[in-house]
Amino acid sequence: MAYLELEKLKKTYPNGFTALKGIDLKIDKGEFVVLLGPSGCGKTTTLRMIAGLEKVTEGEIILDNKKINDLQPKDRNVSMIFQSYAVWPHMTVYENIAYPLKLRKYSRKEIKDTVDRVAGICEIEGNLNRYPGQLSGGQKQRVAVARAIAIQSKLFLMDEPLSNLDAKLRVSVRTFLKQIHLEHNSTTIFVTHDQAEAMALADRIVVMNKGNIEQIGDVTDVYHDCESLFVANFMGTPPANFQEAEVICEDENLYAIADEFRLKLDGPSKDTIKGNYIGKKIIVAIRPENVKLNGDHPFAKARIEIVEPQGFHTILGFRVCNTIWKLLRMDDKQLEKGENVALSADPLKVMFFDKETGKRIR
Amino acid sequence: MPAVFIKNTIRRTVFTLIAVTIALAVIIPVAYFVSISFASIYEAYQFPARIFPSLSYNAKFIYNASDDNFSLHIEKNGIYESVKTDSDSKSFRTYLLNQLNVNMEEEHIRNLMSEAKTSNEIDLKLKKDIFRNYKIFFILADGSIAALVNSLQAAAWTIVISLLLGGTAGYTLARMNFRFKETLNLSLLVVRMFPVVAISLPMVIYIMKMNVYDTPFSLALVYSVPNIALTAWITSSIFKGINVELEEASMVFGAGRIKTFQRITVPLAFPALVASSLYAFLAAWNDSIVALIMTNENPTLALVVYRTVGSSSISNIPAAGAIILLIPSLVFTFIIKNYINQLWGNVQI
Repeated sequence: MAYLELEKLKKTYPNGFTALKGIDLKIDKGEFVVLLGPSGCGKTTTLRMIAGLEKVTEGEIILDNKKINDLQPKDRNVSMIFQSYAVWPHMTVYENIAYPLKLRKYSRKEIKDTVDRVAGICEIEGNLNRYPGQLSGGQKQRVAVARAIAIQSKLFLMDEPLSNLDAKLRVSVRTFLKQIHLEHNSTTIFVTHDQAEAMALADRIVVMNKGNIEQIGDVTDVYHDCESLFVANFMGTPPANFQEAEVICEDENLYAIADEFRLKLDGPSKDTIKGNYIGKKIIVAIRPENVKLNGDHPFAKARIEIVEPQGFHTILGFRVCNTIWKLLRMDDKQLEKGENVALSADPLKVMFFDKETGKRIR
Repeated sequence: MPAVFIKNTIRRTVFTLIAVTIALAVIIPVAYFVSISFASIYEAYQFPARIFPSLSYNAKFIYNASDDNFSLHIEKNGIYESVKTDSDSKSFRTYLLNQLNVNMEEEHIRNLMSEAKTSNEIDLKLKKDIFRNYKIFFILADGSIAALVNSLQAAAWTIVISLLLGGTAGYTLARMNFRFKETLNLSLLVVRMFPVVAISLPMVIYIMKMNVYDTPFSLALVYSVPNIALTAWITSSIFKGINVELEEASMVFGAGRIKTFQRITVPLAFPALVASSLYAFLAAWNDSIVALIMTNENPTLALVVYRTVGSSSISNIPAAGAIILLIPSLVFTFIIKNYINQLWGNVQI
């Protein structure tokens, strides 16, 4: 039995908008799960329903073998970190951390000990008597974290806690959150639209889109083994390259062709394609780092149109069938704009998707 | 270079002129008003009026041997002019008290007379009873202490009613979504447009039926009508400014709705609540028209001042009454000044 279970969870707002179309999710104790998706995909709604801030339209939320659908937020015993930090500006840092403890009827000494302990963990001992208005964004975030770990909560909910920080601070606070998780082994649900955050933090990533779950899996699954076109497009910077192509059979070999694009199909999904897709259109997706230059069996010839050096790697842009393809290279061989090259790919690293449903062809 | 210099000079001159004009337009009438409230009738008839109230007069007491009487001379611009000639000490005392606000015992005057007979002329410094106008106001305006209490009660009730109803309405408008919300917003403004007199006339009938006619509470009911709308406006904008996540955080971390409201929402909205209470206070405190309609035996202080103005030919005593009316407002504003300052844009939420 999973620790937290969402069963056919559905949310329809009074104005008729369905934010969540019945999702199923099981989370084990101690897991760090990231809900990832573009804005409006229902990830924050899911989190707020678990916290009790939104009413459940349909379905069930089961936490620790107990249905918590209709419990007040205060009775659910979860802690939450908000996007705006939500530290109360009229209380000192000490009072902010102590407030949930007071509500839980801790004794005065217990409160002081707990606040001192968590302030130590979050390195805000020096600011306990200051007001949040006097603190920087990163410090406020630490106060929010300290407040959340001070109580012995069943669940740790984080609603885009890093999005208000500047880029550099974001990385350090990210590491800090991961440390906190590893030390406390708390069950955590983290909502973000930033895939870098998601991949850095998650034990498992839940990719969501338009109120549905697109894929659940660890970083490798979600990145290299996408379940749907949406995931392949959403994950990765730059995202995967796509080409709509028709499947034909020549001399017992399968090819996906479109204009100058001609890819020989291979790999485990070959049989499925042979069985169902001959003469039909499919979508071929190849990640930029899997596109090779001048290798065996090229699928297209193209001219380098864009060179984007990124320091550690270089991104090259080509025009294939009137769409820009991106290629990611690690070696430092200088390539000039305008150079003609042949593109190829490892057949095992090419993904195929059904054009109608957007689902992976396996 | 000269062009820039001239431009700057002109700009600075114009700015200074505007600043000075505003300062004069505000300060001179107030200074005149304060000064006149301390002036005696003799001073009030002088032209130009004094900017600062005087504390004493330089005077001469002269014995006229030919007529066997005495005359009082008062210095005006370095010249002594005769203001009163008489032989009777009692009539001198009356004159000093009523016209000059100088309280001098008759015996003292008789001593001065005998002294003047021997030395012919005495230099005097007549000390003014500076608060005499205020004392007279309380004597003239019968029951002004009771009126002061009535005013305070009416103001207190107005604050309580407007904050309770207006604050709740403001919170609802800020946090809840419902149909016709925009219409409700606008209709609040319409309530504010009503002249209070128009409300108070029909209200009198209901007030009489409720058996609360001629009480501060009934006044507060009328004053609250426009103030509830105003309070709802002020507080709803402040409640909107309070991030909902602050309240949600409180609920997630173990507080119920009511506790959250008490511990998080109200403290954060406190400056707005205080500012609204100032508006409610001023509306109740300064009104005399509604009080004229709605009270009989128990007038408010503003009404008493209004009546005194009508019964007085010279402005010094009504001015004193107006200053008395002003003091509680000033005290109240001073107490809450920190919160008012916060509302001017220093608030950090």
